[in-house]
Amino acid sequence: MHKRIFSLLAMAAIVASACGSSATPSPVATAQPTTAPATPVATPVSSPTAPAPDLTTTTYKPEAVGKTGGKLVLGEWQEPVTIWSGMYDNSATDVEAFGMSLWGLWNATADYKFYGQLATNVPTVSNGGVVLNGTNMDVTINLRPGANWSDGQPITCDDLAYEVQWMMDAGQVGNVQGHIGWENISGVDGGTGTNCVAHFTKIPQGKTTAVYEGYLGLWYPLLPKHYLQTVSVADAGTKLYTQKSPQTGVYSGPYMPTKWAAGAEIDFVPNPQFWSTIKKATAPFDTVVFKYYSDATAEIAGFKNGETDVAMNYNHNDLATLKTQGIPDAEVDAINGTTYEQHSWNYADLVKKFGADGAKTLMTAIHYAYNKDDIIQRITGGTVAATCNFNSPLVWYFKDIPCPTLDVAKANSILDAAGFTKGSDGIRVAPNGTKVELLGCTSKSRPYRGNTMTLVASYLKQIGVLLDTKVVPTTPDLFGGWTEQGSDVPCNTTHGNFDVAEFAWVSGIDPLGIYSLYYSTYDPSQGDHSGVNYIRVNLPALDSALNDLATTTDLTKIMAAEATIQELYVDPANAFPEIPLYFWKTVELKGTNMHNVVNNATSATNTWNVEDWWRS
Amino acid sequence: MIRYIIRRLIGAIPTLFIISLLIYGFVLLSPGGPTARFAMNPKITPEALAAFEHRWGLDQPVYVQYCRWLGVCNPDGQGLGVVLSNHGLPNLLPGFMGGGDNGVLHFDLGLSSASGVPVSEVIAERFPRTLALAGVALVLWLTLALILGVTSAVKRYTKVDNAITVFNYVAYSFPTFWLGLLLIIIFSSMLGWFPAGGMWDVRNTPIFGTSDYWAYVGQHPLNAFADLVKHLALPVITLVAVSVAGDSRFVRAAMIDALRQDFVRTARAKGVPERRVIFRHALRNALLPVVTNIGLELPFLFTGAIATETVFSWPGMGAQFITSIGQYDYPVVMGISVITAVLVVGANLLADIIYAIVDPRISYG
Repeated sequence: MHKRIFSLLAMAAIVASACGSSATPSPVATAQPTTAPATPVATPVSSPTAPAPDLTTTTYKPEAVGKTGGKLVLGEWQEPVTIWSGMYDNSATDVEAFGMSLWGLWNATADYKFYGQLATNVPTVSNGGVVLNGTNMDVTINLRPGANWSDGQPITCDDLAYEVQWMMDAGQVGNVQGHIGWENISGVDGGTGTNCVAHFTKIPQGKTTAVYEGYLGLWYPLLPKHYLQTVSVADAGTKLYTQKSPQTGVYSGPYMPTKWAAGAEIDFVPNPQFWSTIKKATAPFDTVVFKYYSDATAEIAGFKNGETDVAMNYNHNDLATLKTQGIPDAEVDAINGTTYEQHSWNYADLVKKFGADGAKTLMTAIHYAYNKDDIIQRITGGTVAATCNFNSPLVWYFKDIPCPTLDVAKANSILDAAGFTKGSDGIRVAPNGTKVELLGCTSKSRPYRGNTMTLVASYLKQIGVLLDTKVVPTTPDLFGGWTEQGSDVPCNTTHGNFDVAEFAWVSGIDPLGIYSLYYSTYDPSQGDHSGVNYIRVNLPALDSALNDLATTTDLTKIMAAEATIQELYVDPANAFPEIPLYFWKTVELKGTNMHNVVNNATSATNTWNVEDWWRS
Repeated sequence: MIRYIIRRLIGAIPTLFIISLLIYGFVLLSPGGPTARFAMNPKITPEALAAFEHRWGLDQPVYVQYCRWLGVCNPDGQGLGVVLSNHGLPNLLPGFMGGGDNGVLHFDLGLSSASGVPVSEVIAERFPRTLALAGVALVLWLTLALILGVTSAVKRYTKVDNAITVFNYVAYSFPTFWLGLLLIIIFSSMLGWFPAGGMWDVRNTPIFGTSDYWAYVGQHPLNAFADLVKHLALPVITLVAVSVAGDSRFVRAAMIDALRQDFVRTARAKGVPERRVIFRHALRNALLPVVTNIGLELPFLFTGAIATETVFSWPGMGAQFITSIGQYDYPVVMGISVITAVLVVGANLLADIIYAIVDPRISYG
């Protein structure tokens, strides 16, 4: 089974299929200032009262390497699909393994701060790295001077420029990064130098025009022009960075793959150019090996047995197994992740069944009926904490809003007052005469979701709402596309054939990452049906706040807009049709003799700082 | 006999054709598909999706896809010309006769849609690993099945027979994956006796099958052997435990039948030693139904070890099959399925031939 975490606009991702834990595989999303207002010649104006949030000062301070040499063995239970780290597939495991071979311009630390990988600066408006100029945005990118690719070729601005051209090539086949962001770039200056300027233009987004604010997620990874040019664009996915001959690829990161025995292991050796031109140090390990197990239980046993030094890709569901197998707490690194379990309610369907007023009343009442603590206790054994916010408390624009408390009496009184009357069977009938019978959907791949939905059905029964639950295959039933799946398939989220569905989203660190999830025109029933606003939320105040996000560059204004959105989301009176349950834990195991291994729940994944790791 | 074998081989052609057609149909009818990995990704435009489908021929009607996979149709052909090779001759002809070079008929199983590696290479890399596991398991399984079955039959209704029967029922009742996990937790996690997974120790042993590996075997043969045995132990125990139970019951029943036959009584009456009666007279006759059973079971040892390979992270064909299904990698799934079908047909033929060897009364003349 393979974990699939599809990234959405570089930051929000769905976790609905088999297995898997947290981080998004694809580019690190920016939390940075974004687009200019729709007015011409907009220069960002910082708030005079509040300082702009600090997005780069991290608490991470690696200890000096005390010992070098030897073989580092990393345990995983899900194998990558491709070396193309997040390009021709989108598994977080690809990034874990090959993120250390192919670096990007920027990455995210474990404490959600940005830092340069192949770039020396993190360009923002406040530090002058981003300049807004009417309908354009110029981003200055300073590459590490003297840095070389693994074959000794210099890393230059030409690589940036060519990657844009290559990503936009019509011959691309199966590149999961698509065109978003790349299509905004009109050119990259700098030639064979290392001081580059990328020119972005505004393009329509929703009901506004926006400069791509997720620029810190592009060039992740940066690819070598001279290597890409060796085959046609269409052949790149199958003829470059091949599983069969990984050693023929050209890399930029600290360790590069030399052998890949599918289903068993991938071997890496230090990239001499990295250590001589970028890190300017000796590689702490002679070899790094990813060893693949078939499942988490075997991987845990392997770690305990001393087969691996670090074992990754666990979540809160594995904590009980860790205890059972006797893994000491000192070797367990469990942090709050970015993946949150949630219930998506189909608001359009509620409106269709019960009318606009009925839907709003019902949704509000449902918010009060969820017993999240009970769900957490019964489903996760109390290993996670309830949330009412879609943002992780770790992101800089998180607003701490008190959560509504469980109040069944209040839910009942809201429905009573709105004319939802209880029938003889205890099920309510809406004022328009429709019986409140709803359909709850979950995927077969995660049985606990069926159990959660059953619990929710019991809570809703207390307020006179009948919830029938249905468990269906993840694909194509639950998430099949508009044309892929018939319009009458029960539970299909794209066609809106559900009342409530449980899956998980991955919240990123880009504040605009929620745009395609909540903006009204991203309703998949509309337009080209590619939107992911499955909940069909259509709130003018929400659209307005999302447009504020897309058109401002002032971090304090971004915080204000995000605060508005979070308030709309959390307050049951707004009947927001998404109910978050809890954030997953991201868990890794590390031997007590391992140093600088710091769990990272962002899309950078656990191996984000592998160049600093050493073993005593 | 040779005429019989040729007749059977010719008869296998339509069988394999129908099997391949059915497998292809089932694979394509199953939910999802190679494009499933783009689902929910708003970055993928309809144009990008169409380009992917075109690249992998998924935009063609199913019968054309099958025809290309089979090698009757030319992937470059259009319209009715699709059945002609680039040389203008029927594509199904061998390449040296001016036919095509694609498709199963030309021994081309295509490329893995997940990794881009030729399917034949994927299978060639995995097959020896499965063979190592399945081969050892098969030898142990047959030996144990015979020993337990014969013992049980000879000592029927005794405590020994009862103990073997109980063992058989218990072992047969274990789901493979459950038994495998149990063994991992006990013998790897708790006792640390055996590795939790894999086929070799990644810290010390090079990748199995590579030139580095054989060099290592040459330099440290005992270490290499011990390493392989350590990694084989738990998966082999799992495979043998669940397989031996059924077959030993089969042997027991056949042996009991044989021991009741007149020729056994005659042999005993003639004063033939009991050991000789059992092994020379009864067992040889009891083997007939067992051979049939083994003929049917043999192919599934290769792909039927799917659960065992998966639980023990054994990088063989079974684990690859599961991975490929998860990736909607149709070419690999088809490749492994067809090879399994060939093994089934071949193993049945082999069983029939062994039949004649075991029982001289049978003639295929």
